[in-house]
Amino acid sequence: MKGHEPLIKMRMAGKAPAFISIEDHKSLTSHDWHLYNETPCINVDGDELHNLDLRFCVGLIVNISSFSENRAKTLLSIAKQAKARVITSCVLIPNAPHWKQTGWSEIYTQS
Amino acid sequence: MIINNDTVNFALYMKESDAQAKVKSAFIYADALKNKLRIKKTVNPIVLPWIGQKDNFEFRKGEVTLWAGQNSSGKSLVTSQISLSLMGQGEKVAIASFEMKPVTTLQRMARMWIGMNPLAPEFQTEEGFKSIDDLFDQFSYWSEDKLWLYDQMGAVSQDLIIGMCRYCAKELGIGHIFIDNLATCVMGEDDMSGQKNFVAELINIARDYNIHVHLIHHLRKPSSEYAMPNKYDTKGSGAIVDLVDNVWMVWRNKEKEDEVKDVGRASPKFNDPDQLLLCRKQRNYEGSGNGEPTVKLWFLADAQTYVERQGDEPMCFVNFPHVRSG
Repeated sequence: MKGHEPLIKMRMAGKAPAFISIEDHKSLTSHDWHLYNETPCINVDGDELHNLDLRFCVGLIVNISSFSENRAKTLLSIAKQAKARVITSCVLIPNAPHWKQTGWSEIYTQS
Repeated sequence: MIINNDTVNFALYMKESDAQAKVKSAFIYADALKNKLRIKKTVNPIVLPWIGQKDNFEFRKGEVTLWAGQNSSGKSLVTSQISLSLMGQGEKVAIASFEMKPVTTLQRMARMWIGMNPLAPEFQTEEGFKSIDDLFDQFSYWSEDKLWLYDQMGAVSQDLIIGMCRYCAKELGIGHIFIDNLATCVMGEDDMSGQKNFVAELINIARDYNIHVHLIHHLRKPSSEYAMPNKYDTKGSGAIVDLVDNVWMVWRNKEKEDEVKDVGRASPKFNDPDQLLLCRKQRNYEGSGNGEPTVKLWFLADAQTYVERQGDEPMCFVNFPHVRSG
């Protein structure tokens, strides 16, 4: 996992971003989002999902994207357990424009 | 980026949810489960040196194996041979023997590796010394990035052993650590909780660093030197056998040795094995063969190694299976 440490630091300091993204594919910003005041981007590409600790999602809006439907569903389940407030999770189709992204997706809101 | 004041007391949540975070839905293991089955098919398992046993026993990462036997039953010889085999299978090995100096351990392993007795009369000439030196150099070169020895004799504190294991696993990337033996690590034969805690600590290290720990241990004095042991004969705390993942009993056929000494080939036991390795526990066996095998072995005195058929050649540890080519 990459990009989570600055987010944990931010939350420990009593601040929370409006939303974060969890990307299960190559990310451009996960290593330096905090340096450029960008949306927090956490990269989990290639990670064993059952070892992830996503507790930094608690109370946040979380956008999840993956090329694998199974992994997108698993990440949604982990983020739910971590008590994220709103979660969107979707499957990306490689090299397809956004209007052709017809993969699985789900929106969850904590009741 | 829009940043707000956090509505969650994050520090408190992290503290309170530490235990919760470890309770996970089975669903999230689905990928790991499928990968495990795929990895099984592609990764070569790490097995015993004797090829006939390759489907029956496996040295898995994250496990502890107990090697138990009576005094001079061949525990150290068997485990030395196994460590050479592990190196031949591409594993890095560390040996912490508190009963033998590193150079003695190496001398024994080098003899196994070359498959000959360097003290035999034919090597006691200038030319013989030179050829043995060459072979030992080859062994040293081969074992350079594969074998590490912990240089300490006699009793040693548990903390030192644990520290040594962590260092070997974390800094040196060693996959197999041999500790010879438990009695030198835990003072007092009746310190049951000390033994239990030490073994539990080794199990944690094996799990945390994904390594295999081999622990050598003595058996209680038997009723007769010929008696075959069972797993409840181990000295000290009974919890040791419960905690470890695999248990091997090492049994030397003294009865055969004594008879052959007396009557030679005429002994009806002449063709019996010299040594038995009795697997009495293999927690994570997933094969469809015999998960608790008994391995019959014959001793080659010159090479100081065990083979699985009478008349077999000494092993070549450079490759696996350990068969000499040419």
